[in-house]
Amino acid sequence: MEEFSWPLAMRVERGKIRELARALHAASDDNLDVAGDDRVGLFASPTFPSAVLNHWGRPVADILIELGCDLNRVLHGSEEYEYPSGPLREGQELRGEIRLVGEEQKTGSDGTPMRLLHLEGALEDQRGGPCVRFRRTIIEKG
Amino acid sequence: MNAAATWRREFGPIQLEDLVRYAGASGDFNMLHLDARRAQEQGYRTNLAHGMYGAGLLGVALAEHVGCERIRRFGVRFVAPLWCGSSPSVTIRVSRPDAQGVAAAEMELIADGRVVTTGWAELAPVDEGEEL
Repeated sequence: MEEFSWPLAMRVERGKIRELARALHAASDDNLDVAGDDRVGLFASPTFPSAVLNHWGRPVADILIELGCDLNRVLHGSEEYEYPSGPLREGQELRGEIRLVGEEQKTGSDGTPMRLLHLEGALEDQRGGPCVRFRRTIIEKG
Repeated sequence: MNAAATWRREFGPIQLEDLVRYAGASGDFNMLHLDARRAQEQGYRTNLAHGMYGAGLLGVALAEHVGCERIRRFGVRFVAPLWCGSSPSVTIRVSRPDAQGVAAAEMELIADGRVVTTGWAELAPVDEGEEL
């Protein structure tokens, strides 16, 4: 499999945390806070790192085009996250990359051929500690 | 699953304003999410939420229920579209903790009478002195 990777650097911003929380009907910003203590900083919601990707790295649509996808036939299959040291927090400066880690050909239940692409992002904080790993499966039908 | 509790969170209705706000937050301005007429021209009933919007609702509901700091692993699978205007709900079932205190969660995002997104999570032990 040909290797593909794209650098990613991200700052966990308070404004973006709140913008996302409000779009998603979070009951209160306090729900994402550490015991309501702003000195510690807001927690980012679990989908934050891959939800805001387009602002910080190569836009996902561009990645898929680079991988030869027809965007009109693309579906989002699944998304997974690992937080080895707890949730992302406001103020963190994260660096890492997104890689293509797998590609499969399958046949759907209706006989339609499908191409599955597995993308993985891994981000570390300023001290080099792993903060989040996320994995996205993209399905290209036909 | 050795379920100890089931919790339900109602959302919605999901309005165009929410999807515009999410488009800005995510940087995904695909008009299928923002323009009902454009979506209908492509055979959809109306404009549909971003897939990650539904994933986000599961994440917010789980964070509200168990606390963001307990979520060590979290995953979703996209099953069906979430239409603009619908009022989805999230159901969360949390297992009893294992010997190490780790619990599992299973989630469903339901709208218009069908499951649109499923989810799962692995939860770190509850801090001492807290109860599930």
